[in-house]
Amino acid sequence: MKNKKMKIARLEKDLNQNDLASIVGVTRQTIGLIESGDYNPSLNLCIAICKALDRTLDELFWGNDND
Amino acid sequence: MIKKIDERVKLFQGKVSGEVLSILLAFLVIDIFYKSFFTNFEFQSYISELYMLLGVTLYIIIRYLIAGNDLIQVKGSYIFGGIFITSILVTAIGGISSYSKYHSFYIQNNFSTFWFVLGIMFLSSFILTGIIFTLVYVINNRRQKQIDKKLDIEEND
Repeated sequence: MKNKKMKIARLEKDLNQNDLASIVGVTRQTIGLIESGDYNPSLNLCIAICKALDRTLDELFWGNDND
Repeated sequence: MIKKIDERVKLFQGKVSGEVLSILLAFLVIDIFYKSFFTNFEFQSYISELYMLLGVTLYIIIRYLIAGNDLIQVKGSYIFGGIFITSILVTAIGGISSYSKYHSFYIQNNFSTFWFVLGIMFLSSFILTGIIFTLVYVINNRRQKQIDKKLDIEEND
């Protein structure tokens, strides 16, 4: 399942995958894999992404509208 | 009903497997080192260990490349440093081994042959290490560029 919410939140913050990756301390590939739904991040990484994008865990990683 | 493996247990298994691999590889290196330098065993007596070490290293490199994980996260100058240090180490180890076997011959020749052997050893190990490092570096870079291109397409989707 693609994580479009995360991608939208990132674009709203005017960040590219590289920027977000360096903020949370992972590779661009990891961010790409999370957004494409091919990698399940740890809770710590989810929290770091939420903090970087000023969103809550619910807003980015919960709900049914992830397609 | 198939029992789902606890993710914490799975993570722990992976960690233990990684540690076991590191320990085994260390023993393999020590074994090769011991057989080649401290005992006068023939090369054939530790060739299987050498093949195993090379095989495992190759497997790790291939797996990393296929998964797209960046193998070399350092700049080119560091690579050159790595090649140089590896060559120095190989030369030092080879020099000690050669001296312990043929020291009487080297003393007879006023060490000129010994320095020559060391020079050849350094040059050959530098070239071989250079080829291997460069090859891995080029393939890794190409793979990273491929992944970046794919991510660019997905990002702009």
